[in-house]
Amino acid sequence: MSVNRWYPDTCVGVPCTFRLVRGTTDLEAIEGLCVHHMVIHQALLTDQAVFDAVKARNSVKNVATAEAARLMGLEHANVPWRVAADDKIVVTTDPARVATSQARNKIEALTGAGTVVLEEATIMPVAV
Amino acid sequence: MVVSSSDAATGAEGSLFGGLVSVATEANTQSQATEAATFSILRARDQAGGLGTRTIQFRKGGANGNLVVSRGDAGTMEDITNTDVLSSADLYNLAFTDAIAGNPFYTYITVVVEFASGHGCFHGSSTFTGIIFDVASATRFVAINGDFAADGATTEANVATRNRAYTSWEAMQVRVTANARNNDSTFVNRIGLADGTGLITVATTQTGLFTDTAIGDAVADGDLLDVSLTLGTGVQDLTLSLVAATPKGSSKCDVVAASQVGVARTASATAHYVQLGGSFTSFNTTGTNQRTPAGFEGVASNVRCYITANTLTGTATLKLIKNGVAVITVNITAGAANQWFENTADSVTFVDGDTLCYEVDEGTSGSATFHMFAVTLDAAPVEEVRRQHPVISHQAIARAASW
Repeated sequence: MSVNRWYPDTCVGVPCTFRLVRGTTDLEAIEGLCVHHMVIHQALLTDQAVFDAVKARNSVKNVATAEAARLMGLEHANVPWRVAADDKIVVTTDPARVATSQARNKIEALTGAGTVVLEEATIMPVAV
Repeated sequence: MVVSSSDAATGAEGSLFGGLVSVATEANTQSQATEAATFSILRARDQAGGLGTRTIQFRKGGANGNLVVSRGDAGTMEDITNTDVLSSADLYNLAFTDAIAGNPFYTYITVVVEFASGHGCFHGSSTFTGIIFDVASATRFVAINGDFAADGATTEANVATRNRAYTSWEAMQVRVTANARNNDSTFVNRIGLADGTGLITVATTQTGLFTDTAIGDAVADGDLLDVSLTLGTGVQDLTLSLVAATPKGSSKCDVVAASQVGVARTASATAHYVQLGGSFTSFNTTGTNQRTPAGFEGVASNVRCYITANTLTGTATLKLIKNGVAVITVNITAGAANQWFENTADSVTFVDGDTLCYEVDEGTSGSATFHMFAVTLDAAPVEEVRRQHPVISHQAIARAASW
């Protein structure tokens, strides 16, 4: 059995905290340690409901940024994203690398319409 | 990494671990204090200067802490007045601000950490721009000091630190910044090249900080310590920015400068220098900027290094340098590869304000590839009960990624 804590990067400010208890292979218990302070979670009644919502939102961000990276020929981690004031996930795409309409169609095909906001900006190459 | 002028103007985020980079997203640089602890004595050295006033601000839970240093020219900056008290699970990192667009050149950043209970230190390796792991059905290895490179190390010994300070491994944490994996990825703490009981599972497409704070594995003198990462089937990217560990012991701490890929040094009569801890990417021939203040007083011992390739035709020497003078010497045998070289006999006292760094010289001809330099610092012989230990980083933010 292992006990982990997960602090999702899509929860801003003081991040939500989940205590995850795993058996040999399965997630056996979920305890929300700090989950109801965010507006988008306050209407959810159980830790499981918050976890499911946060996990889905976290995955949407990662699927969207992965697809944006593929479309723009960038490494996944180099696609800028942020959580807007209204709690929406905003992913930055570079119109010089991919047409915004194309990016929107591709990403919405994976995440559903309206789940991710795209904003245009010039993404500077990252030199290491 | 290149920090653009806009990044410099608006502030970039970094950490006490790893080196060479800062990023614009603060969350990617945050580590967790897995123990309640007090941070004090923040020091850094900018060897470049010429960028107006540069500021390094300690951040606690995404807000400014008390520790802050700034300087308008090249040299050492320090805050020996303020402290920041962190509760268990608080997040911390550093924020950088430059008055003039450009890239300062920090050869080290140090802070002293004192646990609220017992003795120990936070160790971590990081590359905050994110490093991709995508080898299907494979286990790779990552150090708990310095930096890590793409896909980690296939040879565990190249990244495993030889323990001389600790008796237990209490906690482990990893930060995943991007994740396109279609199955779980698992991290395990490694002790003596075998699995410990620490286990972190990162589920498919999850990102953020993951911790295991209830490990409690015993570690012995001489044990090799690192972390393994096992990926399942598929070649989707898992991007990692931090691997950190919290070992505890009596009164000692290990301070390690590390490079996963190793840095080759050609034999030379010219001395080469490395700062006391953090990430190292090259050797410096001057050494002035590598002299690192420890932040407390104690006894230094067990000076050591790990070498892989070694074609040296003569004996090289590793020296611990205190205030510019060699005080402990380790002989590196010609041609002896894939092993630690260590002086287990000699020690030297130091006080706060003394500087320490490593020097390598000689070797006749050929070259050797260095992965780790380490020293053990013990506060107990000087002061009866001390819990202060330094966390040291090389955080070069520069257009040329070498110094």
